[in-house]
Amino acid sequence: MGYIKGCGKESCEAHKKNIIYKESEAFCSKCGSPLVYVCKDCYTQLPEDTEKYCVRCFAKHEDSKEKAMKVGASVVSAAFAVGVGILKYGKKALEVAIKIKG
Amino acid sequence: MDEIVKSENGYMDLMSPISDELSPYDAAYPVELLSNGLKLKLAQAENVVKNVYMAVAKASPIVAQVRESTKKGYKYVVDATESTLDAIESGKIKLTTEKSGKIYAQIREANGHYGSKLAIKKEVFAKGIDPIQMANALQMKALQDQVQQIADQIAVIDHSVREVIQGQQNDRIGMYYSGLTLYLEARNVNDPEMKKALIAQSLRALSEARFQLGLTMQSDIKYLADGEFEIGKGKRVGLIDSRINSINQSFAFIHQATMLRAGIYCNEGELTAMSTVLNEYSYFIDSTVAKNAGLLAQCDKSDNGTENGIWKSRAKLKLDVSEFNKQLIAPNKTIYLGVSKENE
Repeated sequence: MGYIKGCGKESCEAHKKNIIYKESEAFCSKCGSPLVYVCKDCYTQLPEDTEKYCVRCFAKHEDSKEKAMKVGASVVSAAFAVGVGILKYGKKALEVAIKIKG
Repeated sequence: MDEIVKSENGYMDLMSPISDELSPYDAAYPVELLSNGLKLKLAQAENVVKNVYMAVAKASPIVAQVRESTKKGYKYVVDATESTLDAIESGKIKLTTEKSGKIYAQIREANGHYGSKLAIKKEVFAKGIDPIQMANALQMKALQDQVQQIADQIAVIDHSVREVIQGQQNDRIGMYYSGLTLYLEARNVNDPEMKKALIAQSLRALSEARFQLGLTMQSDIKYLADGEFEIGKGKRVGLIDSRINSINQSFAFIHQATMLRAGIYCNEGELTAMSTVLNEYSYFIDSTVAKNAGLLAQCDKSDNGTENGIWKSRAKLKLDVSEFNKQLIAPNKTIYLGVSKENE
């Protein structure tokens, strides 16, 4: 699903400019050559009907997802730590403030 | 005489003159050694064939007369002497080596058919063509087109390999340099026994380097094919790139070691051994590179996966080498002298 096609003829302008075509299209609009499956990111030619990305770009996406998850997880844990800190010390700080006022 | 098609790629163009020797530590040295060896063999073959042609042309009327006097039924040969001589003049002679090793010349007659086989023997050609030299020349001439095709293909691979070579170090690469150094030493040794021993050691070191690097390369490819890089969460691309670098490095030195071995055999006049090396290289490419070319193209950021991409162009080498080998071991070989005139 969502496979991308491109022109496999290296001399064609569509290939040089990495122009992408829908999967349903069969021929290049610039040179008329049969279209081939290409990687959505780097335009590397792929075997028939396999993946949306080449092995390297797929790995890059997985790495990015994991990095994003790591960042997300560290943000959540930082927020949690701040929350715990507020609960722990906030109450005492409030009591001190009331005493001073009283 | 036959002409080989001049290659667009000037680097391994076998029509170009033999170049001056490069530094042995230049990445282009192995292919240059092979190229010069092939050029030399082709030039020698050309000279021998020219001599054979002259000798056949000169001796043919005598052969015809000898045959006429000893065997009945060959009168037509004598009758056709004029046209036969014309045929010789216009280069319509073919030479055939049979399975038994016998070499024959056949002259094209007025009716367009080749006449009876004229055995080439020393006694017929008083001034003499060495039959062994001639058999080698016939072999080389018959292989001329294949040699040029292989040279062109090697040039494509060689170009992509040379950038990888610089500054690479490991023990298997050390073995390659050991083989190279031993060969250079062998070239400067005068004693023939010692020279042979050094060349044998050089070939052995190169062969070991080639096979050790082959195993490393196969293991790296398996790592990628099995997706083992998935273990490195968040570091997959780095792991893929490091394996691809290793694969490129191994391939570069496998190529260099193979070219050097083929070049050594060629320069030592061992064409069949040279063919065996190239054939083995072809098998390696077929079994290791061609099968995984798609995967390697996807993992290698410098490849675009097209037919002209690095890995798919490397994978193509198999075809012409196998054709070369087939031609080399074919029992019967025929070459046509003066083909250009025949085709008019």
